Parts: sequence; structure tokens; C-alpha cells
Amino acid sequence: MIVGDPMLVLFDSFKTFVTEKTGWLFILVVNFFIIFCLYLGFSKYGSVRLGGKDATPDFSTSAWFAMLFSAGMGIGLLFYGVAEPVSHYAKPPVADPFTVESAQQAMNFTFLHWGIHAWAIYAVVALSLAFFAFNRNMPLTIRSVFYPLLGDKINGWMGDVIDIFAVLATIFGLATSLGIGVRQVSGGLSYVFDTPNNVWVQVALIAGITFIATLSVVSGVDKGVRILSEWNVRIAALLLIFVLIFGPTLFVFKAFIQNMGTYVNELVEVSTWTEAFVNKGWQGDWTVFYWAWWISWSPFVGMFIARISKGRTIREFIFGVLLAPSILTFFWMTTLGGSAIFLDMQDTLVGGNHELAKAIISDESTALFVFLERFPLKMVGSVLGILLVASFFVTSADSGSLVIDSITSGGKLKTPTLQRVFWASTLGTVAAVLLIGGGLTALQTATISTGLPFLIILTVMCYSLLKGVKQEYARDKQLIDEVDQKSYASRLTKVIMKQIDKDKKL
Amino acid sequence: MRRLKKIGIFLDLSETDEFLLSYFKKLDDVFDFDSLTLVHFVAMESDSADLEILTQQLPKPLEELIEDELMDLVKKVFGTEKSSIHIKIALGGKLDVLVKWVDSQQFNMLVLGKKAKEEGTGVFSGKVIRLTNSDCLFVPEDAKTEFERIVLPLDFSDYTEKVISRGLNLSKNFSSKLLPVHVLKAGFQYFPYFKNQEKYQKSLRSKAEASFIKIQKKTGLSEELICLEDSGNHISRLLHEFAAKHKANLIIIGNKGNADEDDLLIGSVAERLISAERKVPILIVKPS
Repeated sequence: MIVGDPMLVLFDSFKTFVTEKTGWLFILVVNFFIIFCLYLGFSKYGSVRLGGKDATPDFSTSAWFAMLFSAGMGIGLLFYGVAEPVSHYAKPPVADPFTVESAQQAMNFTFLHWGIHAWAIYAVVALSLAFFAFNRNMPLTIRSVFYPLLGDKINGWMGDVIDIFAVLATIFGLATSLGIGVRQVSGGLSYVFDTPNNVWVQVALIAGITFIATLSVVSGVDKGVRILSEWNVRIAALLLIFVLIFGPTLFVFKAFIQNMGTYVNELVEVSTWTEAFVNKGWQGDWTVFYWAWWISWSPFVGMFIARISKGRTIREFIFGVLLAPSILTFFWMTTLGGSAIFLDMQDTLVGGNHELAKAIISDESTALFVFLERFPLKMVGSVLGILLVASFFVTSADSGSLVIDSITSGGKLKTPTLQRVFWASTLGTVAAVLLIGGGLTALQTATISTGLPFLIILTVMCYSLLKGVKQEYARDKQLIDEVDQKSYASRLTKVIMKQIDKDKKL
Repeated sequence: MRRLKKIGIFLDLSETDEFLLSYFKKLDDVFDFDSLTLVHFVAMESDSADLEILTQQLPKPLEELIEDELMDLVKKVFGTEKSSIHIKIALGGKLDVLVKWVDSQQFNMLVLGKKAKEEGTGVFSGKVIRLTNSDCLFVPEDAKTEFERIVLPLDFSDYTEKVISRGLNLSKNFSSKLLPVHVLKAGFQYFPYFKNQEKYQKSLRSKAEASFIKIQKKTGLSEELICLEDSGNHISRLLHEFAAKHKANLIIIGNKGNADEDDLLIGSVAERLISAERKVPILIVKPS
């Protein structure tokens, strides 16, 4: 590839520049989002209800939790579920590799990346969207959130800029997910069936899967996608239970409790750690990349969460969104990655030299399949894994293009078919071009560089949301205080008597 | 400035209604509004037991009955049944629903009353004023139906231009005298080491005058700016005293000042004026 190498160098140096110079900003601001969420949840404003004070939830609490879980499930969990913990265990940022310490740290960093920080980002965006859509009757687009600051100017160029950044962030965030998804499918196929694994196979896969996604987008009423995404979650649960039963069951339960404790205990330290004294560039590849990735996903996930959360109070919303999906993700990570670390440690007892861990980190895209090979029915497990990634791919591409479609058409939910096709194929094309141009580095660079401006937009969004919520609270208070009914009743009685008398006279 | 065309008047079936309508008639004689909507809020929930007892043996629906009552009043005040008059009776006891309806109607102005005698009245009017997006004219029962002198408190916030153009519009029709006034905030009590109080006041004054000249050019207001020095009391108190001294008939004020928090639906000055002022009507200008 002619463009490949120079592009790769360019992408890489840009990525290094952004993460080195602005990494601390990501770390700081994402922590601020958590504090902001907790403030909203615990303060008096937590009583404000999305959709007005008389709104009722569209879904039962259990259904709502289930939907939040499914919002968190995605290609990323399949790709990194085994790969990330094992990678931190084998290549830890500070501890010695392959030690008990590095194992614990590995789980802790994985929890950090997939835990409440990610969900605080989503919560900020989702809450803002839901608040301005349901309490202020504004269209469900990012620009609506800025109404308290910009007023009617959100309909001018400033609003356009905000929405363009939202669309760009979504495109690149999704393209990254699609990119790693396709690498995993291709890696899995080659691992299981020995097919070639190169960029062209991957591009062909993107083309094929995008085509399926486009078909489902065109067929409208995305009924197929809805069924598919329901099954995604079911099959993912099946995979989880499979690993849980045939893997080190007791270990998983013990580790889950222990990891949660360590996470809670070290949350402040780990989440404010900025590699200040060790400069290995580790954080740029992991934490900063994740923060940027979650930020670029936030319009996408945020819109989904917003739509299902009408009728919840802000307090319910914050604690539901921050905790429920995080805890499930923790369990997933402990079951997959934790088990992989456990198996690797067990191997050393019988004279192994970390072959499993080394095999897993040698190629992240085949990590899941290397791990599943240790289980009975390995063929079934691996094929299931490949199908699951592919199917997550279709649903993300499909629903992602619908979200972009909705933002670009100013919040409308029903848009022309041709426009939907355009966005669905654009997503596939961007993912393919980035893969050809520079592989994963290109995808990560794209994510981080669109994540940065959107990070600033999100910060302003917090301020704007707070303004709106304060006003809403003041309005609610006006409506709660009783109007003097007694004197009104006596006035009304007088009028009724007078009118009845008058009618009698006529 | 949009012409005043569509007006909503809140009536509550008390004696104040007649006063409010006759006050309004004076405005109507000059402006000849296109449409006038009499709004009445039935302050009882539709499923309340009291309401059921009251409406049990009515010969016609409650809505119709109240409409008749209000029409009687219109005939009494205006002499005839004006065709431009509409009536809205809000049943159900949900104030937020009514406010939403009011805002959707895009009235140029809402007129609300405040009784003179009873304690704790004006609560309902105050709520509407806080919740709505429409400009509100708040009329205490003791107010005179004159528009000779109008006070325009200016703080040079986003509202100032709108306040002035409302004032100009009224003064053109009633040939009233406009009194633009600005309060110079001192705040010296917070700065014990303040160097030179006089100098500070001077610079505030010249700043205010400079902003005023700019706005004069923009709006065509010809009156001189009157600067009041902060006496340590609340600004609303200063404005009240100023209005009383000059025998003003109306105060036009912006919804919110520069420094007001998001928690306040209307600014602290407007808030205090509507709760304390017993003689002078107040027109509260909302963001458009």
C-alpha cells in the first residue's frame, strides 16, 4: 500500500502528540464528569423528573436496567474482554509482569476503563439530551442542549458546528468499533478456519457486513435489527454462562468480590493517576484512548439511554446509569479476563512459561479465540464468538447510522431512505479507509482527535444542563406550593349561586 | 417592537376582576387590541370532592356558567359584548398545563391583578408571572388608571433595550413622561479597605452614562438618565421610593438582572417589587 506507511507515521505522531499533551486534560475532565453526576444525583436537583413532574416511566425498572445493560454491551467487550486484563497482566504500567500484584492491577485498570467513568460520560450526554427533549420539548440533537447558553443561536452556525462535531465523533467512534470488530472476525476466522487474515479480507468483510446493515436500514422499521440485538445480548449471556460454568467458577465469584473492593478502594488514586513519574506512554494507548472512545460514542449511547429514560428522576437516572451497567461489565471482565489470568497462573504451577498470556497478547484480535480453545466444545465456542461479533457489528452499524441520520436531520426520527443508505455506507467506508490507511493506529488516532473537541463540548454541556435543571427545579417548586383553595371555593360558590338565580329569573 | 395585539387577562371571580377590566379598558381605548382573552383558572382538581359537591346540581356545565359570569362583567365594564373577546376556562387544576397553553398562545401581554386588602394575595398571580414566557402587567387594586409618568429601571442587561422600547411605545400613545433610572451599586460594605468611594462612584456613573448614550442612539430615547446611589437597601426599595416620589403610574422592568442566579425564575428586584408594591403597576418584560 503506497499511502499506508507515510500515513501510519503521520497518524502515530499525531496520536502521540494529542495523548502526550492533552492526556491530563482527559483524565481531569472525565473525573469531573463523575463529580458532576454525583452532585446532580445527591443534590436537591435529583428530584427533577425527566419529562416533567407528572411523567411516568415508559419501562419498568427491571426492563430499564436490562436495556442499560444492553447499551453497554458491544463489540468492545468481546474484543477487550480477554485481551485487556491479560495485556495489563503481562505488560503492566508499573508493577512487575506476571505477578499477583500485576494481576490485581490488571483487573483494577480494566475496571477503571470500563466502569463508572465511561458511564459518567454517557450519563452527562444522555441526561442532557433527555432533559432538553422531554422537559423542554426540543429536538433530540446535541445542539438543543446548548439552548440555555446560546438561546436561538443554536439554530445558526454555532448549532451546526456542535452537531457536526457530534456527527464526526460518532462516525469515528463507530468506525473504530467496526474496525476492531472486523479485525476480530477476520482474526477469528483465520484462527479457526485458517483463512487468510489481511487488510483486504477485512475490507471485504466490512463491505459485506455494511451491505447487510444497509439492507436492514432500508427495510425500515428496523424490526430485524431489534430482534438481532435482543439475540446479541442473549448469546453474549450464554457465552458468559458457558465460560462461568466450564471455567474456574469459584475463582470468578471470589475475584469479582475482591476486584470490586479493590476498585472502590483505589478509585481515586487510579483514576487520577497520570503517569507523572513513569513515562512509558502506556496511558496514551489505554486510558486516554478509552476516554476519547467513550466520548466519541457518547452521542450514540446517549441518545439511546435518553429515549428509554423518560419519567425517571435525575437521581434514579444517575445511579441507574452509573452503577447498573458498570457492575455487569465488571462481572463480564472478571469472568473472561480474570479467568484467562487465572488459567495462565495455573499453567505456571505445572511448569508453563506464560504461554497462554503471551499467545493472547500477541494478537488482540484472536485473544478471545485463544482463550476459548481452553474450553470444551471449542469449535462451537469460537464460531459462536465470531457470529456474535459479526452480529454486534451489524447492529452497531445499523443503529449508529440511524443516530447520525437523526442528528443530521435535526432530531427527526423518520428520514428518507436514501439518506439512511448514505450514512450506513459512509460508516463502512470510513472504517475501511482507516483500516487500509493505517490499521488500528489510524482508528485510534481518529477517535482521539475527534474526542478532544467533543470533550470540550461535553464540559460546556454540563454547565448548560445545570442551568436548565436549576430552572426546572424552580418551576417545579412554584407548581408544588398550594394555591389557596378555600377562598377560591367560596368565590366559586358565590358565582354559581348568582348564575343559578339569574337563570331562574329568566 | 412588535405592536401590542393579543392580550390575556387573568380573572379570578373576585371583586378585583371589575377593577382589572376597567383598568384595562383605558389601555384598550388607546391601543384597540385585536384580541382579548379572559383566562380563568379553576383552582380545584377535577376529581376533588369539593368541586363535585359544588357542581352536582348545575343546570349547565361549570365552564359555561363561568363564561356567562365573565361575559356579564364584560358587558358591565365595556357596555357591549365585544367581538374581540374570548374566554378560556382552565379546568383540571393543573397550573403547568395552563401556563403551557398561555405560552403557546403568544400573548403580547398578560394582565394580572393583586387585591389590596387581603393578606397573602397575589400568590397565584406571582406564580403565573414567574412561570410564563409572556410579558406580564401586574396591577395592584389601588393603582390609578393613568399613564402620565413611567419609570424605566435600567441595568444595561439584555432586557434593557426591550424595556425602553416598551416604554417608548406606551409614551407615544399616552404622551407619558419616561423616567429612565439606573442604580449605582456601591458594595463598599464588602470592601473595608476601599480606596476612594467617591472616585469609584464616579467611574460607575460615567460607565452607566456611556452605556446609556449607546442605547439612546439605538432606541431613540431622548430623556436623561437619572442615577440613584445605592443606600445599602435593596434596589427594589430604592425603585419603590423613587416611583412614589415622582408619582409614577407604571414601572417597566426586565425579567432578570445581570447578577441573578438560574434558580430564580424572575430576578430578585422584580420579585420584591411584585410582592411589596401596592400602588404602582409593574410591567415585567420577558425574554422574547
